[in-house]
Formats: sequence, C-alpha cells, structure tokens
Amino acid sequence: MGLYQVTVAITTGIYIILTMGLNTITGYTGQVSLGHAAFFGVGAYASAILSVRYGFPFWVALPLAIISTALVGAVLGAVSTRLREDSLAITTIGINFVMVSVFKYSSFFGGALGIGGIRYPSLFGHTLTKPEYLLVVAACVALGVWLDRRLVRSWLGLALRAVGQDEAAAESLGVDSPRFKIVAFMIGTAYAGAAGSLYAHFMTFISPQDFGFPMSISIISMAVFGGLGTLRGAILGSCVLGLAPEVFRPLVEYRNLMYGALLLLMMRFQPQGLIGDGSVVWERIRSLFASGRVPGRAERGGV
Amino acid sequence: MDHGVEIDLDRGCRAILLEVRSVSKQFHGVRALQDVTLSVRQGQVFGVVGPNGAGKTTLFNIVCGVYPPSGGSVLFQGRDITRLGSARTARLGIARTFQIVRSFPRMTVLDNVLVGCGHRVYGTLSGLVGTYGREAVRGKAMDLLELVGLEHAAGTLAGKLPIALQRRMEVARALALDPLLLLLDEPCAGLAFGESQDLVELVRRVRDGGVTVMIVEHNMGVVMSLCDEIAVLDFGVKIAQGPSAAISSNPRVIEAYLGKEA
Repeated sequence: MGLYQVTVAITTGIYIILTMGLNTITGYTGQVSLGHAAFFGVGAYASAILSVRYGFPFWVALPLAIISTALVGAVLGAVSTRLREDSLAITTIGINFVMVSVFKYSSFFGGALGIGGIRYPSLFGHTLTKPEYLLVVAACVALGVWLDRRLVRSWLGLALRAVGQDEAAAESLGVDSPRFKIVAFMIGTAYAGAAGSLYAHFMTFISPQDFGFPMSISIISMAVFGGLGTLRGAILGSCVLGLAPEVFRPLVEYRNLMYGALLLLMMRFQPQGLIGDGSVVWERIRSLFASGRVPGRAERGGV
Repeated sequence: MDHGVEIDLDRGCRAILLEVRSVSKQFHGVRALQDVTLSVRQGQVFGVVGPNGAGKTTLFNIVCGVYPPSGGSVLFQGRDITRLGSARTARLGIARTFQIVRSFPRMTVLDNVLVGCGHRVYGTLSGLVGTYGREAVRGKAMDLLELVGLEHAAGTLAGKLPIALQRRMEVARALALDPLLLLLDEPCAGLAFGESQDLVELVRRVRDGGVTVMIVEHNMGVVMSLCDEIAVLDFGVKIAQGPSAAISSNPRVIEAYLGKEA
C-alpha cells in the first residue's frame, strides 16, 4: 500500500466511525440530526487543545475528547426531547452553524486559522508512521463495530429502536423516551468525538470549515445511501461515498452536488438505502442465502 | 358527585385497583372531561362507553399518564399516579393498547413483545447493557404470542401483519408488562364480526388470568357481553355507572345515544 492509499484508508475509517455514530442517533433512534459534523468538530478541537496546549499524549486526549463530545451531545439530546422531527432537524443544522462560528470567532479555539502543530501519536517514544496510524484507526473502527453489535443486541438497543419506530408505543411499554434519546445522542456523538480526535491527530492541523454543514450532509448521505438503521449500510455507505471522489478525481469539485443528488435519488427511489432492511439489493442477497435453508425467511427473526 | 345512577355491585370484598377522582381536562378551552369520578375493582372488566367525542380516550390517556389532568387525581393501588408520566405508569403495571394500532413496524412480532418484557430493566442502568431476549424472556414472549394465537408469526415484521393481527400483537405486547390493569382502547374498531368475537374471547382469557381490564368500545354487543360494570360518558361528563343490564335500560343513556324521545 502506498502512502496515498493509506491516507484514503484512514479517511474512510474516520468516515465509518462518524456514520456509525449518526446511525445510532438517526437510524436506530429516529432522531434526525443534520449537524453531526459539529460533534466531529468538538472531538477534534477537544483533542487538539488537550494535545497542543496542555501536552496530553494522543492516548489520553482521545478518550477525553470522546467524553467531552458525549457531554455536549447530551445537551443536544436534552434539547431534542422537546422537539419533533422537522424542528429537530432544523435545530441540529443551527447547532452546526453555531459550533462553526464558535470555533471561528473564539480565540480559545484558534479563530479562523484553526489549530496547528497537533502531534502525531507516539508510542514508547516512537512517533507512529502513517501505516501504523492506519492500524490505530482500524482498531477504533473494529471497537466501534463491536460496540454497535453489543448495543443492537442489548435491551438498550431494543429500547432505542422502539423509540425510533413509535415513541408513544414505546412509552406505553415503560420506555422513557426522553432519557433514551439523550443516551442515543451521547453514544452517537461519542463516536463523532472519537472520529474528531483521530482526524485532528492525523491532519495535525484543523480549522473551523472542516466541520461545517457540508460535512454533516456528507455523513448523512453516507448513512442514507448505505441504508439507515443498519450497521452494514453505514459501513458500505461511508466506503462508497468516501472513496468515490478519490476514484473519480474530476468529481471532487462536485462532491457536495453529488451527495445532494444522491440523497434526493435515494429518498425518492430507494429510501431503505442500498443494502438497508427491505431494500431491493438486500432482499436479493437474503433470498440468495435463504434458498439453501429449509425454513427460509420466516426463521430469521425468531432467532 | 355523580349525577347518574349508582348501583352497588356488592363487591365490597374486592379491593379498588384504580380510582379516578373528579378528573377534568381542558384542551385550549374545550372541556374534554368534567369532574369524572369512577373506581375499578380488581378482577373486573370495566367498560367505558359513550358517543364520539365523549372523552373516553382522554380518560384513558390521563389514566396512562400520557398527559396530566387539568384537575383531579388518579390513584392506582392507593398511590397517586396523576403526574407520573406514561413510561413510569406503565412500569407500575398499567398497560394499554391504542385506538389506532401502534406497532414497531420494522421489528419482528417477537421483538415487539420483547420491548414490553424489558420493563424491569428500563429504569436501571446496569440491566440495559444485558442482551435482550435471552432464553427465559423469549419463552415468556412466545407464551404470550401463543395466548393471542400469533406464535407462527413471531419472525414476521410487525408492519407486514394485517390490522386484526397487529391488534392481537398489541395485546400480547401490553401483557408483557405483567400488568395489573389493561386498558383496551376500541379493540374491535375495524374488525370483522368473527374477529371481534375472537377478541372478546381473548379478553375473557386475559381477565381469567387475573388481569383487571378497562375497555373503551363502541360495539355495544361486545361491551354487554364482556363488561361486569359500565360507565357512560357524554360530553365529558359521567352520566351513568352500573352493571351492564341496568345501563342498557337507563333512560339517560338511551337519550345520549339515540336522542330524546319525541
């Protein structure tokens, strides 16, 4: 693997972590967030400041960045319990713009110039090389995937999906939706915080526009394109849309246009996403695998 | 106090499970309920009837904690639950179904029921991370599905079931709360005659299992055959309460339903 490929792989890994987080909030719990990049930014800035100003090593800055992002996420979660669907979506857009302005106009966050000189992580006195950093990112992706699987199988995950699919019914079965929405935001933004920290230490320089609204649109496009509410969709979506501008170089300029158009097309023709539950492609794949088994499709959910 | 006929049911030995004390509710100046008082005893099937807009569903929503009343209070097992909110009320043992079925459409029928099975966990932190639907709990959910005759559909996505079966699933899901009181909001709405009969049978079985049932229903045949006691609401006021037979011949009730005799 050349250094270019390594760079692309690291970026894709960061996208996967971001999308997994958004999938928890919007996919599982049904809370539309169009400001996920704001939390990506909180994680990146937290990690950068801890590292540059206070000299914390990456390994300490990363968990601290995750925790601080989740705390900010809890605040948004608390706000979200008072808002429904469209007004929540608009509020999250607003939060994204507010966060970018805070980064941009506050000298504490380095102003419009951002923060530079963020150190590459080092281990036992050895500064990691890019391929080694890719391993760190891959480990974080793996941990994120594992945690997501744990979540989906847990009572917590079941309750989040219940809130996402019918809030009143969930409440009637003892699930306090406000509390669970806050938890969903905390988990989802924690992922974004991890991605931000990884991004900051990889780029070694961050500035406010990295975390603007277009970035939020990219993340939600990935989740929707792959199939909202499924982990496989989040991963496939971030891989495809993350790699597309690299593979088709001329597309880079039109990246946002492409994401926007894709979002529209998916919503119109395949709202389940490329391989989400009930999508054409996924049903095909499932029937391919089910044909060999005797009880077939009905068996699946019972297990 | 009540304006209507009160007939003592000679059931003093049975404890009062639910008490609604002079509950009123206003929505933007519209009086949905006015000073409604009633009590439901353990083991009863208690019917709430009345014309459209009489306040039946409002009463249910207040009992379930969906919203608080403008005045009055609700007591469950002697405990004030007026402002407890929906989720905590449910965890205390008041389960409900909805007038318009509310399933978790993209979950399997079994998972729908399992959401109800988690009621002991939702209030805690440690239990939440445990895997849901392990052997014992899944067995309980399957038993409930068998009770409502849906065991064969356990793996189907709930949204793909016909309405009549989603209704049954809602009942199983509500029973997963191990409720002391089950509120059924027009369980027969939109069902064919045979389906209604099945549902009546199901409610009987539930009651025989020791669950007190409170039911809002338009189908008078269903109400008469099921309920031990009936309260009649009209324009948010309770106009009568008593055993089924007495209610159907009560002139005020007939007037509310059919209009005044010329």
